[in-house]
Amino acid sequence: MRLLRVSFAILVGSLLSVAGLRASTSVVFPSFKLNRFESEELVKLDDFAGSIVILDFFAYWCVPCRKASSDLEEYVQKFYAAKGGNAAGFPVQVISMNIEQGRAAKTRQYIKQTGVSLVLDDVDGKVYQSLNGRGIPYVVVLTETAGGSHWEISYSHAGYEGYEKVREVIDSIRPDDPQAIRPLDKSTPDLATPSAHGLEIGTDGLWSNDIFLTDTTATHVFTRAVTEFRTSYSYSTLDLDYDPAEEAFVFWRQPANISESRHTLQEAIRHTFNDWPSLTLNGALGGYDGYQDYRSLWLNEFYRQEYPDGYIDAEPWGVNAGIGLRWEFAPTTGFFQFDYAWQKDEIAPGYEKKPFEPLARGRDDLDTHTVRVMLENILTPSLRSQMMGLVMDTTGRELRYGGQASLNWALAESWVLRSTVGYSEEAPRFKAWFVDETLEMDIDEQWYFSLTGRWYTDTGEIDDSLLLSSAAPELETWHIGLGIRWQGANSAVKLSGGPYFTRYGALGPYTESFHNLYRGRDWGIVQLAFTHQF
Amino acid sequence: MRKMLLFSLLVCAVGCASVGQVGISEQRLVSKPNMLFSQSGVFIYQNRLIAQIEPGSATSGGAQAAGCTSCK
Repeated sequence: MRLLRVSFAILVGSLLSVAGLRASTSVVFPSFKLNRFESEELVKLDDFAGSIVILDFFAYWCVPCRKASSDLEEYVQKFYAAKGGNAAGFPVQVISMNIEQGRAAKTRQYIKQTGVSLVLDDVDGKVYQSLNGRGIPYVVVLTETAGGSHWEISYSHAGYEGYEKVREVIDSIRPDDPQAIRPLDKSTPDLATPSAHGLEIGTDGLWSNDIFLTDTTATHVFTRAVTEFRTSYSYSTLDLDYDPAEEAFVFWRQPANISESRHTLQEAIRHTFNDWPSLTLNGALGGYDGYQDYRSLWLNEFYRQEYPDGYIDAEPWGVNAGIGLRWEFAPTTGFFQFDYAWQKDEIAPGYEKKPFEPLARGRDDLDTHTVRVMLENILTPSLRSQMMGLVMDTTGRELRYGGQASLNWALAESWVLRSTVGYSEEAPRFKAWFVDETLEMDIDEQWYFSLTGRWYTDTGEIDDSLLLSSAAPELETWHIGLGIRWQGANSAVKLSGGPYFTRYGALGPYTESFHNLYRGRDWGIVQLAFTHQF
Repeated sequence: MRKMLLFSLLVCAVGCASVGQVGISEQRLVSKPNMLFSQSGVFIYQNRLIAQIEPGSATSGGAQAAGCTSCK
């Protein structure tokens, strides 16, 4: 109930804050005359009198514009050309409107990749502004069915709603006089629903002189119309040179080499509503089998040796489900997201032996409910922000509050600084802070160099035991790394790595047995990622 | 709870402060691929394995990811 009350308060507050920011669309429009891209040839809108014209405003640097442009060319321009017009027989013409004046080579590349056929330059933005454009991709449907020069706006929207919506608008356009409808002599062309695939493979490694951890994740992204399916499989390994702390008269603790692996399968779905295109529904479902971290593996071995008579083999696993809503409250620039997630973990539990009492095995099934709100926005022409707040409620624990603020700052044409600061707290005394900075430099059009720094500290974990506690003492970590990224038209590869240092504070009187678990370590980090769109 | 509500209000205030102020012709720099908040590992520099060590940086992942709950 606590979690529900807090979540409701956050949701209401956030929604009120962003309410009323939705754009409205004007229906007033003058005609125009513009040059074809990189040409002296003038094209007049009135050249298409008697037709339906779709204006697709784009710039080469606009990521969502790519899909809009290629869809409109393939599934609107070619579709109606093959069909001979819309349902009433009006010809349909898509015009791609370039609004970027600089870097013509990049625009040429965009035109080639998306396949758009008729491109006009609106680099001073006059037509865009006269149509009250507020973001790209900006799609406008203009109608002139009388054969004159009286253009009307049948549809306009900042942000791409999908080619189906555009077709719906086009097919609804009829002449005032039903007798004027011209029957089509061509059948409807059989064009498949557009779909796209993406493949991403990433490998992370983290090692010290006694611990070696890896995580390899393969993700397939399948997009069909307005629905995206993201399927991930991860294989993780944990290798430990287990070395218990030496204590007087404790002869049963022995070093051991332990290796475990974990398999994780995760499915996420994003669906944008046709009737409410600014809303996207998110869903997630997944599970894993194996130890989630090296500490629980270390502690499990400790308890196995410490209490051979009462110890029960642990087989950790977990499942999760989540649902959320993403609201594009400012076209293409502002997003608000609300997510709820539930996770069930079957963990390797701790054990506790009190004098004159039987060995107690800790609870091994835990439920975690997480509510998260996120806000993303463009603050200035060089600053993009993402703010996130969350509340987590885990069985037997107090609520955990967390917040994270990220700013991506274009320092100059070729320099980007990505900053993240985070904080979390949990009663009675856990607090954690971290700062993450990445400076990325464009070496040229395809190669990027990066320098990363990270600092983290916390006050130590919750300790509610009476005798033996495996709670971590306070922790401070640092990381510095270098990276290089290659970015092609449909693929990208990144390699990064560097040293990572962890330093724990002094152990408490009941934590001495875990001295070797919570000792300072010097680690190496490496990260390799590859992505390809097809 | 008060801290969280104050934080949420601050987040919304900062986040919404400039809605509609940045025109499309000025969005070229903020639309570069490395200026977006992407899920892709190609643009994320935080190693996934670090979360095993830093219990306060987890934003998902359930009970174990957010700290040691079996610490008895």
